[in-house]
Amino acid sequence: MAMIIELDVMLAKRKMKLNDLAEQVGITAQNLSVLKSGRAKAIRFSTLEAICKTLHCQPGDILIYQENDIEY
Amino acid sequence: MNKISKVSKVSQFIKVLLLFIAGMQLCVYLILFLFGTTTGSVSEVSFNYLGMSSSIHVSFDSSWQGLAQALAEQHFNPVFILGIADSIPYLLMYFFLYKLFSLYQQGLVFTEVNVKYIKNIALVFFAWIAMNVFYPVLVVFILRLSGIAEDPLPLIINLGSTELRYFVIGAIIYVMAWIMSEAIALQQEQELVI
Repeated sequence: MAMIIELDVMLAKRKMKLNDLAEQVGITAQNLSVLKSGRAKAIRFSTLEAICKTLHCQPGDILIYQENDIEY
Repeated sequence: MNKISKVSKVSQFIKVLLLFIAGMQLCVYLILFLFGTTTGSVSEVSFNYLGMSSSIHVSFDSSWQGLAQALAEQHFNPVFILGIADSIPYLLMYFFLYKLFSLYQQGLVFTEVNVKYIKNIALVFFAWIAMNVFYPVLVVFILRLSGIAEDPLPLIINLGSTELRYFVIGAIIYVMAWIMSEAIALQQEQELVI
């Protein structure tokens, strides 16, 4: 997938646990885990806003677009 | 009582009803096979008890009527030859409906297994058309080749409004299952929106 989720990097920078972030954002740890592992199909603006607010970061710090080297 | 528990209760009732209908149908064929008298395309058993009279009968409809009459004329039992084949699609449909309502009873309403059973019910309708058309031909061929029939039985191929009706019903059920499958895919995708 071209979209890379760097939530774990931001969590490490802020020295925060996934469960704590989930609690502060107001979504389940299970859903946040789905987002972190890159299995999510989409992210709501409200969720993104809450994550950015909690982690004091920009959306670009969490979501990174990477061009695929291999073309099919 | 929430809606799913209502569905569960009604499904349980429908399951009992399906078992009753399937049992009744099998009993009717068994009684007619053992004790029935055949006139034309109608097999019948009459009961007289304490001045009260009742009867059960099975009549083969337009597509199989001609063959049932011809078989009866040549002293074959149409209930045995046609009745067994006629009851197979019903029993298959009851089986898939029973499985479907078992899932509803468990509260599983929108799953891939539900879609599979609904598609199977549609396929039974399509198989029913093939059976309605080709089974009489097969029976006649077997009886002709084995030489059991005294006079040559008529070769009847019938494709009429009954088969068209089965096709329309089967197609509608299949499309509904298809739409349900798409809905499940959308639901699964929605679950991955965080």
